[in-house]
Amino acid sequence: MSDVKSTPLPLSRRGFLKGTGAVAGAAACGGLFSTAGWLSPSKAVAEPVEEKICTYHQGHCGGRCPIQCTVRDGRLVMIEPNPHVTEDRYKTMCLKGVSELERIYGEHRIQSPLKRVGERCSGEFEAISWDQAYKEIAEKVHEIQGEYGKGSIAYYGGGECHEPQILKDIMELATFVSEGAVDIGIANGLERAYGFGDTVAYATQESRDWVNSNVVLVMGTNYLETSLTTVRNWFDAQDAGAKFIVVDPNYSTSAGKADQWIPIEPATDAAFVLGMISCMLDEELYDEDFVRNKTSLPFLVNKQTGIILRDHEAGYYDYWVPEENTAEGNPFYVLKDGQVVAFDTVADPDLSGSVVIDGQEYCTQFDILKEKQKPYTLEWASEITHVPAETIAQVARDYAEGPSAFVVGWGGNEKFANADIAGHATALATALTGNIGKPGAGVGCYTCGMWNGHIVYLGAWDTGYEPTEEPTYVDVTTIRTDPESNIHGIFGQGDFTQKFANLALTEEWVKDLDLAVSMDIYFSEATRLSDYILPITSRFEYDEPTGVVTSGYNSIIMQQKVIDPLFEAKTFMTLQRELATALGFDQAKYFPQNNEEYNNATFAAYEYDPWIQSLTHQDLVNANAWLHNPSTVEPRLEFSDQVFTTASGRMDVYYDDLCEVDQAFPTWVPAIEAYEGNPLKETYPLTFYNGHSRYRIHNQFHNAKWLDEVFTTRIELAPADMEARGIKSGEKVEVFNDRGSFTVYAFANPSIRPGTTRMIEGCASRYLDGEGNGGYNSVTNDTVDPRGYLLYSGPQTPFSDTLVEVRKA
Amino acid sequence: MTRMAIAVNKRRCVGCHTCALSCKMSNNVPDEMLWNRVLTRGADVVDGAVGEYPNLTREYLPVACQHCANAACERVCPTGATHYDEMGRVEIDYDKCVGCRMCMAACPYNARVFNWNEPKRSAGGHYGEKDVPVRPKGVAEKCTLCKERIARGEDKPMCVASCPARARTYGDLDDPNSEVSRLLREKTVEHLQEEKGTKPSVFYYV
Repeated sequence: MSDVKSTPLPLSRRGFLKGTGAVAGAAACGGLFSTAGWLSPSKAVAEPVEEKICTYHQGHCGGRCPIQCTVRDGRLVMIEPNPHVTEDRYKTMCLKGVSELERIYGEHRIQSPLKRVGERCSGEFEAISWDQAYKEIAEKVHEIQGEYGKGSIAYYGGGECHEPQILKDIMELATFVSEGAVDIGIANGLERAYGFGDTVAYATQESRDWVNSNVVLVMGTNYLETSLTTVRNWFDAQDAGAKFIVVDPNYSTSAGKADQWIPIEPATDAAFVLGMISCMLDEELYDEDFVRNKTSLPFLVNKQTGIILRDHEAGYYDYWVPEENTAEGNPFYVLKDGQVVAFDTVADPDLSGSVVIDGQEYCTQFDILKEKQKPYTLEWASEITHVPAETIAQVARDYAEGPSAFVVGWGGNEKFANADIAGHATALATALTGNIGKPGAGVGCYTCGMWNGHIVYLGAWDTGYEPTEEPTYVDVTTIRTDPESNIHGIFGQGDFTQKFANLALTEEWVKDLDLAVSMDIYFSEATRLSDYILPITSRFEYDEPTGVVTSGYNSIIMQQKVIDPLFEAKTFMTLQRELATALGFDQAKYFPQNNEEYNNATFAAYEYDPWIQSLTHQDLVNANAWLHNPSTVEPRLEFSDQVFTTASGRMDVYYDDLCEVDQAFPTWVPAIEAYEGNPLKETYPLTFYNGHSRYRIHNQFHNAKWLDEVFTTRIELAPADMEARGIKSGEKVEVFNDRGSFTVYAFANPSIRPGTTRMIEGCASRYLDGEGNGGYNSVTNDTVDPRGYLLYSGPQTPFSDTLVEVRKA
Repeated sequence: MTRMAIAVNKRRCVGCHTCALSCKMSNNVPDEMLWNRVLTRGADVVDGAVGEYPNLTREYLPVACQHCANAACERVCPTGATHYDEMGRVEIDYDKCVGCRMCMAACPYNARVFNWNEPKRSAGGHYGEKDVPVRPKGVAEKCTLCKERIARGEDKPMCVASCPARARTYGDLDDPNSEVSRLLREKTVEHLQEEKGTKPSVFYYV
């Protein structure tokens, strides 16, 4: 047996005979073979030059895995969890990270700047030089901005590239408000009840604390796929006795590991929870002490107008409660033994009661709730959700017993137009049971380390640039259709089309623009629609020793240069500096000289944590790109003092600003398209659910060949639905509705709820079946429910609130 | 004696395939070949299930070479390419492999893959552990329990180190104090295709 340790490449019988072949292959094999080895057997081959560099991988899944990369003769050859990480729970990586080894070198990389030669959206391009690209783009930008103003070009910044986005501020481009109508659906109804979550309802509890939970109620999230690097917390909690209940239309991976899986009709989560609430009220399962003292339920409300009784009119609801609307500035009122008193002057106010003040009748929120809930019986909920009434009751009892965690997500009901109702109902369930702020209890989106641990947003770079115009903001839900729109161009760093449902409308909109520029690592849907495509580097490639710092899972992390930029790609920072120059700016005035300068500045500006503020760039270099935040040894638990970040300091669960749409307390609203009984189902009977999975991160990784070896892009249907359409598993199908169509391979999967389909979101048309017949967004629903404009983050795009039909292609 | 093995916690395995791809990376496994596969047991599609909606069950099963104590492949190899090494692992000496594929016919676990053609790597170059031999056309290959990685001083194979769920344990079955020996004693254990008499060292437990 050859002793492989003594020679890096075994000089074997085969190796010797095939020496010529090995040499011929040297160029393709990255220089690992050499003639030197063949001719001087005593020293078989020159020892390869190997380096190990620590960095972090992906931002957009929230994993932010600290990794160690091995580079051999200039090529990335291995990725492993960073061995310098001190706690096992932060030593993570997943299949997507591993797939980068092929992906960054793969055929889907944009290798040089490209200029459109065909019709827009046709995807026909020619390679041009960077100089030509900068010159032409700058000319076009000056032309458009000169005529229509600085804010006439919109900017979209995506998730794959983590470098700072500075140029948009200097160019004074228009930016999108809120999260751009995604991930804010459930949060709209949930977060304001306690005031935490950064508009996307980050959970109030770290999932490490589930070991203290009695029940973990998982509704509309596939945690064991989408939070892959923290799945250990799920199993540790099960080992400790927590009962996991998964409510999901499909038998997802998480459903398969749950103690109980409850199949549910899509987009009926709100009805389920409203049924739970009725059960909790009827059986008095609520935590009376918490309800009386920590929630707004005892507060007096004008029965006629529905407005909460305050000292003076509160004005419009705002997330950031102004001084005059806090409890001190503008008290709430309760009844104590029938007497009206300011809420913070008594303990244990009356839960129920009426009073007349100045000829107006008032009662408690609790009274209103009981009345409101009357139609929402268990039987009613059962009919809507198709879940047996007794099951809903059982979940209500289990959840109420506590301490319980209520785990919601950014997929599932989130992607339907009634998500905010589900969020509001979830807030109510939490408030009634007091399942917040105590060990084992919490609510929100628990997905992935960085967003489930101690969340830190490091500061933006201060360019010192003085804007010449008022900033322009645009809204995803109106930018394509607003007849008054002054947007004449778009710059996208990442795939800007993924923010929009209804791809045909996106293409129509882009065709009307004067300029579309994509800056991306890989070809995407947006690159197809663009006039210019500029290649940027993957997160492993830098033209200086380090990248920028950011927040990781309970840590501060940094990217470091693993390899040189590949092909003609430039780092996003370099691109921004050079384009700024081409536009006529003195870039040195506005940009950091290098990432070290940026990092030091961003730490120094972070006033909220003295430990972070005291860090320097060199600290991260010395610490191998990972530093544990010392205040995160214990699992994060918000509101352990049970004082909430709301106007009253309690859980404010009654939203009187929504009286005009009868949503002060949740009123059931079905999905906007994919609802049971929609006559449209005669033509398009299947719900088109497009969600998240372990194999992708939004629009990323659809082009990773190694991932193809374990899972290929597909749409999944129930076996009976396939059979009824004469489609065999693995055949190509057309998925269509009135908005458009696309072709893709279909597979039968018994896990899929009959009457629905499942696909992973974000797939550009070029990665579907290679034929480019439409993208998955060709069918998705861009209808805006007007109620959305009354909500804090505005309406979200109901991507999954979509009906389709599927036929053999 | 030494008998290295891997224990897989079926309850924790979430079917993510990180082990499959990190093994591929570490061992420089070419395109369209995997030494380790994650099966959805009893299902005819990845992430499928057994039964009819909603009465479904699912179990993920990562399968690679079982490093059998009574390996069928070792018995049938005509050249002695497949052999036991000093750590009780079933290994292939690629220089002796003549590509007859008797081993693949004999193995009940479909653990081996074969280099039918010149191995291709769409990554554009080699990857993985420096000391892993590059296999030529015409030889069989399979899980080696990361022998080069272990020889370099790491304490566990790549699949064990990279599993996000911490579902894998590596150790010596001939050491009664090892974690794998403890798991074998205490847990409800399954050996794949036990009736074939191959005595697999790899085992699965809940």
